[in-house]
Amino acid sequence: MPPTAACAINDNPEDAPMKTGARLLVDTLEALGVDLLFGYPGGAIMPVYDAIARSNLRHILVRHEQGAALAADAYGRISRRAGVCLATSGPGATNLVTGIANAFMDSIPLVAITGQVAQPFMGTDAFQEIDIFGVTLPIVKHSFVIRDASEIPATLAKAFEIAEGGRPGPVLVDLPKDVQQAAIETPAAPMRAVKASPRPAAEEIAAAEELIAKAKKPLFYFGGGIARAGVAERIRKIAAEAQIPSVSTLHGVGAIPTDDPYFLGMLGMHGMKAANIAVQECDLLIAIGARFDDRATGKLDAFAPHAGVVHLDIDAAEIDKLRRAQAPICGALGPSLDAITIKPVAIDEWRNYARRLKADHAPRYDAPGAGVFAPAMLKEMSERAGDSFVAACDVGQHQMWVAQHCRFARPEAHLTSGGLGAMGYGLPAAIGAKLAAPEESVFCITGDGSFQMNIQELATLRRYKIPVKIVVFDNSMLGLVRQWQDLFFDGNYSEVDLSDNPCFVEVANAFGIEAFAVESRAEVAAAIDRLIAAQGPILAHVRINPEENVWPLVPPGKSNAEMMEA
Amino acid sequence: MNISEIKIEFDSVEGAVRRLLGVIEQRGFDVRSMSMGSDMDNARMTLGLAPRDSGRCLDVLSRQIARVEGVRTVARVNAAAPFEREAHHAAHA
Repeated sequence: MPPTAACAINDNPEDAPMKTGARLLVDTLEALGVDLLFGYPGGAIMPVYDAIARSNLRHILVRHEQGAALAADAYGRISRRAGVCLATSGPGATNLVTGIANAFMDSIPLVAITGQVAQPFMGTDAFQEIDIFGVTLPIVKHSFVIRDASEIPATLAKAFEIAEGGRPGPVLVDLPKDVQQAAIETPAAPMRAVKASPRPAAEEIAAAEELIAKAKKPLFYFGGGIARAGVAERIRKIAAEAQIPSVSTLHGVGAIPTDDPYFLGMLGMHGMKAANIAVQECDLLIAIGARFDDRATGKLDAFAPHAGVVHLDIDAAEIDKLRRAQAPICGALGPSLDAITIKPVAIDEWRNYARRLKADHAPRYDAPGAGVFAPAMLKEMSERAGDSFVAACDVGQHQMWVAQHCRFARPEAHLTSGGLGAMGYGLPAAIGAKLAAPEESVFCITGDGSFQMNIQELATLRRYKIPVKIVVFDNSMLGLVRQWQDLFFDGNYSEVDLSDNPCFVEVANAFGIEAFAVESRAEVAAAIDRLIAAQGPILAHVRINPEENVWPLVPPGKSNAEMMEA
Repeated sequence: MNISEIKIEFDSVEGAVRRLLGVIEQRGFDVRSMSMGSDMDNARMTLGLAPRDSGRCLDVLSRQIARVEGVRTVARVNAAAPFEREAHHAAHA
């Protein structure tokens, strides 16, 4: 979707010439094409809420500000336009922080608007005064304090331009209450212009093409930049023509079809064995929108030890940050992919090897016993839902199973808190995703630990009748922490027992949401039928074995060559 | 530990100084010296920086500073060409 078009404020001659700052804010949001925001009112943002009630904006009242920020994050991921969240000063603003950090770590366009105490009170430790500008400095792409109401249109336009442009990210706009209340003549300031994407240099392209032509074992390494840039179709075309084996990061999952014969799966700590072997053996990594994150690389100096690197990225600061690139290509991925010719020479032996790797290390779904095997259920669910399948994951074992076993039609359909790893992401993210893409089948895939971190958003689902399908995998444990304690702390289980969980069916029912339990493998097919057929919000409480582990696993600090398996 | 000097030119706006110092410290450099001046719209800073460990690269830090909104140029003092923001090029095109 293209960025919001440039426009002018107050181009309606019927508008009153004087407006409050709050009204100007709301009108500017509308002029910028915003139609939906997530938020929670409070003292220092009340003038804005007064204006919202008189506007055409659709406001989703969440039950905790963190839910607003995470829902706006998911809205941004799936629409590739900045999601908007709104909170009051002090605790309202600090409750946004996890969501802002999540958007920052995963390069998601987001505009967070916070009320602030009136300017004369700023710096006096006033009631609900927090320096949210300062608090969020390390986790925003940029931030503003608006000191004068006349600055509102231009500042908001700039905020959206920064959030959506280049490498996307969150932008904070802090709005003191006196600025919201000020009455001013409406400025007819021009809004924003769309900034041209940086283009790659011709000599960079030529150097990369030369390396690719010489490589005997080239490997694509797809990252989250592909989804952010919206270039998955181009990637698929290039990969199909070049027939170069590929792996992806957690955020690159979905860039290429799971069943592509040369796609070896996710790499890294919980990556597929075939993917990690290929990375260790390749002689050229073609990294596209990937940042050599430690969860992907394992021990950095042992990562892809025989490989040169071609690195395509929009952010110059990612080039050579962790791994030196012999051929960096710095520019927007779209123009870079248009400019480069990826034509390997004589790599049939490597292709055949990659196909054998994929076949030899394919995951198995024939787990013993009669209990629900989550990987198999997830695989079947994603395949049954088809191209409309969207997964908003929480964080933990189920998150890794989704990345390993689900089928995605496109990378934007896989919503996961990769950089921050924020438990509690799943439910608000599913709300944001469903509102951004109402035609898709949005599943919230969560665990019993994560689900309880934002469980209050069931009320939001109920209020707006948002038809999200929630699957709670309940092992009555903090499963991934338990797995690590088992493997790396001599089985000394410390504070991972959640066996006193509530019955999530009863909880959902109490919120007015249809729910049912799944206790055995025999019930899985019918459960998937029921989830897919549901017209409203629905929850499946799925009991799984508390001792189930995620495999493979690269121990922390180890090379990806040192995978542990079941 | 080697101390390197860099010079940053940037828009003189609210929060710019603590934003830049935050980036520098968070990315693994200690600020050992600093001088700064500004007029209405423009500011410049010269900083002496020491990396906290051998994994920290001043060129990478310079690119991380260069991408901060409002930064116009970053240059090592007595070193090669400055890193300039793409927007700065566009503004002067």
